[in-house]
Amino acid sequence: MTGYVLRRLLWLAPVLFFVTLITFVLMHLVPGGPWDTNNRPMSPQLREQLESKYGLDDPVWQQFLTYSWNALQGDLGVSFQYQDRSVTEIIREGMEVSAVLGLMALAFALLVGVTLGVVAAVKQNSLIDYASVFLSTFAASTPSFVLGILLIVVFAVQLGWLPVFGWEKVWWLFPNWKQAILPTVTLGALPAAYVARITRASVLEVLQQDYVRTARAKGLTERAVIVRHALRNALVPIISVVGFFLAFIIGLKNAVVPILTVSGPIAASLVTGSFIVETVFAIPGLGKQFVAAVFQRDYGMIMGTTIFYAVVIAMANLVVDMMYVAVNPRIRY
Amino acid sequence: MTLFLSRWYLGVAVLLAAVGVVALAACDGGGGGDVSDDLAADQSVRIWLDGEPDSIDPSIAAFATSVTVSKNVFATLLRFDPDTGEAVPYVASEVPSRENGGISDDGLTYTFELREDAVWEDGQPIQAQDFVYAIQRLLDPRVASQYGNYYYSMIIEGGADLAAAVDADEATIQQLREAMRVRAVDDRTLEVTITQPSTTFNLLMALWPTAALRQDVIEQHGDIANSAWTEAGNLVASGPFRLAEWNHGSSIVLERNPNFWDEEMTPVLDSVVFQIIEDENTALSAYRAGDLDAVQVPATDLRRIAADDSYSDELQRVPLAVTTAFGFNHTRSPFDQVEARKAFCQSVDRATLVNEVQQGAGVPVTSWLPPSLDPFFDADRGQDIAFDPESALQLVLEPGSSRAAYPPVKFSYANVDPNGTRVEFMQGQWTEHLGVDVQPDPLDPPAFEEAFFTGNFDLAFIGFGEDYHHPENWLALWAGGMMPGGYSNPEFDQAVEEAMNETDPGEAVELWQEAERILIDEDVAVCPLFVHENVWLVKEYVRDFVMTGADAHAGDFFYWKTAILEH
Repeated sequence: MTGYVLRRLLWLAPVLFFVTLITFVLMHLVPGGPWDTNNRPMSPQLREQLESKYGLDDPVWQQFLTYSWNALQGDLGVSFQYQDRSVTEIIREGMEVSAVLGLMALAFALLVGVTLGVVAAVKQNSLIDYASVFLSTFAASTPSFVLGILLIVVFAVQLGWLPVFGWEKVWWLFPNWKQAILPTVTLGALPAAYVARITRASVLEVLQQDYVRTARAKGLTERAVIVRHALRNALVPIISVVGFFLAFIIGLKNAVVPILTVSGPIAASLVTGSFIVETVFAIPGLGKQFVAAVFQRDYGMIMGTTIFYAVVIAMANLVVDMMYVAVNPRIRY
Repeated sequence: MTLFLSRWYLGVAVLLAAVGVVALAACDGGGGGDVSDDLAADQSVRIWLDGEPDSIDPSIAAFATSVTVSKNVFATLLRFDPDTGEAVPYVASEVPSRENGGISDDGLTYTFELREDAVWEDGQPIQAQDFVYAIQRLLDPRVASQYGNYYYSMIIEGGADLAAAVDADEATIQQLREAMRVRAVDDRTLEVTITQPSTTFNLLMALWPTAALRQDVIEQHGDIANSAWTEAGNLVASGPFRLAEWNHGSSIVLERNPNFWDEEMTPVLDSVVFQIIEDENTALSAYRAGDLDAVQVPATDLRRIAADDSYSDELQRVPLAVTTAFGFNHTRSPFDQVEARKAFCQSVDRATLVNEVQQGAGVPVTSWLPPSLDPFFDADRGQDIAFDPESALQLVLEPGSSRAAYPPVKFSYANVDPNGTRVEFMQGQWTEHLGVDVQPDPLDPPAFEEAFFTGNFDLAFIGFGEDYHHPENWLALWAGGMMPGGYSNPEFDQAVEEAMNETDPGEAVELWQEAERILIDEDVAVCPLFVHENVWLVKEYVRDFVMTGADAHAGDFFYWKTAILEH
């Protein structure tokens, strides 16, 4: 196992190298540059000054090498757009928000999803079952910005129970709980839906198994049967599905090929933020920064956030693979 | 049977719930509440801000949001009178002129006398050296200032040499900085020499990039080009407000500067809270929920809100000095011919564009100079390019400029709302009135900027916003063939040159109008469409939220005047 983990960590180096290279090349190929965002014509002199300031006057291959060398030492440069701020600082601040939001949404998704799924499976074909199926379909089909705005209009504007926007840290990294509710629900709705459906299907299947019949025959309470025996095995597909949603929640769903891979692309993108939820609720997270950086052609931020994501996703993949072993000792690497 | 029934009930219950939610959501309600005439105990206004500033460092700030904050936190020698747009004293005790000796006889040397009582937030006096440092830094090539290069490098004597010293060593740059003709005669007197006589230099000295800077503060937190000195806690203010908090991407809190030295502009408010909300629908919801005091009305909600009586006391609108137009590529067929340009321009129904597509926000114009540029604005400008579809059709049927010979035409634009609908409207107009098919070409904003500035377009949807209130700001950029699209007319260049050199104000008006006449009436260099309007909702309990046509952000000239009433 240790060998396996070490090997996976070593693979990180070539992966990161190629991610950096490909992003760097693509970034320079796309039309429009970092200073094509202000509507004043740029004199050749100003262009020279800016390129000198940011090191863009070197040939591209040299820029790549300089960037990689600095990045290895932890220096990701400055943002081209927000010129007083370093990329590392922006990522760190964005992460403090997005990670907390993402983890809260994940917790919501798992709690609500697993509960609903188990209850639905145990009380199959009852009203609760149909209600939960309906809810999960609704949550899965509603685009997050629609859901977000709907929740804002109902709970914040009309009822006035919750604030409309914002994310203020009140204790360490945690926000004012009232501000956290609507974004968490919006971000966690879709994963909750899928977790519920997968859990339901998985639990149903497990309940048919022989060993469950045995457990019942032994005289165990229904509850003991479910919690102690059935759930553990039912959890395996949920783990792979969780990885999928993690990637999904960032809104990169188009980039992630759904449900084909059983082991799941465990992208910890959930904790790195969702562009749409952050925009609708005016939350200063990393997902919003990442997308904005591309629109603004902020080379420094694009490179920094891409590398950051790559590291986080790779690490998360590793963690999930290790979780498989914990849940099912028969899995060996 | 039970199975079937429970499904059915469920379906109905869900349907009713959905209808209920939608009905609840659709309910609207504005205004209401009693407002007294007394000042509230909590003097804090919460204003919507549409994005994070790129930097509030005066040398670097370029976004409108950045300029707003910078203007209120830093003081310049002169400032703009919001009503007339003229330069009035600020840190300088008088506006330099020939009469008071502030401008030398040859018109090249400006002397500014600073007020005795002007101090920084920490009590230190604002000195001439602070302005010298500011201007040197503005043109220092290591700082790479957009506005420094755009407005100041050519006009200040020695500025061009400094700005050109890219990649030079420290010693050379230092030498060039000192060689630049900006110096402190003494602590209270600043002297600036310019390269040629100008009627607008005082206006340039009222713009935010020339604000005084504290060298010690900047160097304490970094170096000349990269410094964290603009973070709250580091920044030392010189204007009516100080920077209390800057939660990046989230909010900016300005507090009254306790050491502010101008009686008139001392704020009533204790604090101005800018909430950064990129989604305009969220911002409007926040306003409705009472979480914001002032917000811009989203373009798609304008008609509904303008028609809603409950909002009538809260709605404020003002035309801006921002002209929207579409530009031609004069080097490409068919727009190398004035007939084609004229035809395209005459066939767009501007009134419908503003009233229907923009839901009434904006004022149709046929001139490049906005109506607010009194007395240079000429109401007769652009008569020949007003909406006249029959005349336009004639132009494209004439053998010499026939539409049959047109190559495919693309209309490039930055793909942000609501440009798409505007472009499509115009496309429809050309199809309907000219029988010409134009292809919309939406591009990412940076890609559009690149395409435009490299001249890689047929038609481009553009706009221009005033920085200072003078036709030079609007017309000089069309001279010398510098404008993307390749418009070049030596007659126009000469007219601009004459106007710039004319010292008699009455004559100057004539000359600038003549220049614009050549640009618009004769050459149809660009097709102006409309002037923007700021349409905002401001709570009734916010007193004196004063919007002007020159605002970078609504009301930003008068935050010092704004107050909160008890409610």
